[in-house]
Amino acid sequence: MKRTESTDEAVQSNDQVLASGHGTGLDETSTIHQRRRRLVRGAAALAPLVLTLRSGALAAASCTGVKIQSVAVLGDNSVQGDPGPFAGKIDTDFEAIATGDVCVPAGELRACGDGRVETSVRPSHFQTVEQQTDFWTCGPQRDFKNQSVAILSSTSATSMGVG
Amino acid sequence: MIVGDLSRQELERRLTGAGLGIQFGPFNLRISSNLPSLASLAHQLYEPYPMVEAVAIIDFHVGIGSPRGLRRWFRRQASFSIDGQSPFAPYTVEHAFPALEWGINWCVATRSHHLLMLHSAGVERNGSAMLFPASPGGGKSTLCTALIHSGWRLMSDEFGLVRPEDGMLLPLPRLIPLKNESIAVIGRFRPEAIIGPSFLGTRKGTVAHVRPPADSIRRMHETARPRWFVFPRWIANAPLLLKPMAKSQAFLMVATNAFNYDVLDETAFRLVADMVRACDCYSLSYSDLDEAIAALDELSRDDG
Amino acid sequence: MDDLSSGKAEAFILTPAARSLRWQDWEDIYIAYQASSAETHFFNETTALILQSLEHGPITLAEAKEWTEAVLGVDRGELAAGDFEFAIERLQELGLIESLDEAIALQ
Repeated sequence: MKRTESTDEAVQSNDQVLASGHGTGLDETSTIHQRRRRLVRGAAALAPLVLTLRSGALAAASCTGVKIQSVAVLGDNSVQGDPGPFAGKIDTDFEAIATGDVCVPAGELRACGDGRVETSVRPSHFQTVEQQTDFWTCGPQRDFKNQSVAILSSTSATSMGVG
Repeated sequence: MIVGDLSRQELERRLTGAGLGIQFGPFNLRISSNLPSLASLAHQLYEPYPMVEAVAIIDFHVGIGSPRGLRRWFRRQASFSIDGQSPFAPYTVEHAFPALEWGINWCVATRSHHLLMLHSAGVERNGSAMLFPASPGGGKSTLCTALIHSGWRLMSDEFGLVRPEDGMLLPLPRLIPLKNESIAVIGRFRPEAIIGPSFLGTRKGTVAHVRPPADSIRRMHETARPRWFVFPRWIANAPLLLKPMAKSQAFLMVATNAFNYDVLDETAFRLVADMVRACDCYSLSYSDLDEAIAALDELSRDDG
Repeated sequence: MDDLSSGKAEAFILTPAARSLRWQDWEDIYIAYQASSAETHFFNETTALILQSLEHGPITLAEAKEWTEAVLGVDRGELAAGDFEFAIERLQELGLIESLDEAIALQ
């Protein structure tokens, strides 16, 4: 994929592409072959992303992928007021979540396809995930305890106006 | 000549007559008003702003005043006008000054499509600008006010004005409206800050206006090159966290925060892409202003 | 939408609008400005590759899917059919790809 150093170069390149009548303005296929994905973490990472920015916000008709549609967040294991080391733990595999992902209340999202939710529905609350020793929490304050949350990638979350 | 060179009486005479010509960055305004209370406040808060020469072209003819009829005397109201038209419902006369300030914002946002307008605060140091795109509850105005009282120059609290020809940021160092708790926060942070009266019960809660330091106003025609995007979020009791942000995400957030991205079409796409490419982008979570300022100071020091 | 597994599948091509997209990419996100609609799109690598698969002429959707999976380095069939069809539908709605038959009929 062409990594343009300046938009002027991109414009010149596209002008040439148009003149030849071929191409999308992307690099040659061989460059893509050289960037084969070595690690694909599940269907969510593979699913196509198609979002359109329109009138200062993403088009209401857009769908976006959701990494995990619903996962439990552990509560306190209170003993004499101590919340316990796993309080607020997002109860899923460590590898399923990445820095930049966002927690939102699971029940507030509206599905618009298999594994996708509408970008026009903005959750009332959200929290960027926070990495602990070997698990994740929803934010540094370990929010959403005893609730189910959905996990969105940072891009999907931004498309919904959260995160 | 600056507004402060006029006496209070002369300023009122101009407001009620031909209008007070005043420069706000790249815009020349002529302000009219028949409200004596506004004259006093304008004399205080607009004091260091340069006045417009008589022959200068005026970008916006604005007014804030009492309407004709009963509302001039009973449950008094104030209407904002632009070029003789009143696009908004009237405010109570007590909120005339904030109404004037918001009205001027509206004029800029709807009539300045020769520039790319980001909804963003901006400050400058050593020719490099740091932009804070707006987000609900992000605290950009509070952070911006704190920064300009800590060695940074104010570019603008509300508008990142990008000149399409060269991508430079144009200053618009107007009064900064603080809301609710932020007023006291800044009052404690910098007791020497010049803060106007608090207007209670406005549509945005309690609002008070901070006058930028004189240096920011004096340098209102000095452009700056965008160098950093910082997306702030104030979170009570949160530890400071300044994290690099993916450029793709920064592009999305800057584009969605631009007032006129869709008006400028490909020009906006090119400008936002160029800026994001050239800038370092960060998310900032903070609860303590001193900590946040120290972290941002360090960014500019690392820039050399 | 043709049946990806059918023997007689229609071919798809890029539209002129797709060929004049302005691109900017960072990380795994591809941002494209479409002059014909003045819209800005955000694609990931999967979507960008789907478009690129059509670059050199008409191919069927099954071939496009297979090519995309190969370049992504995943097994054939690993890109969910529903996800692929979603992308095709959206790209058609955006006016970036079209059926070859429709394109010929419109000429």
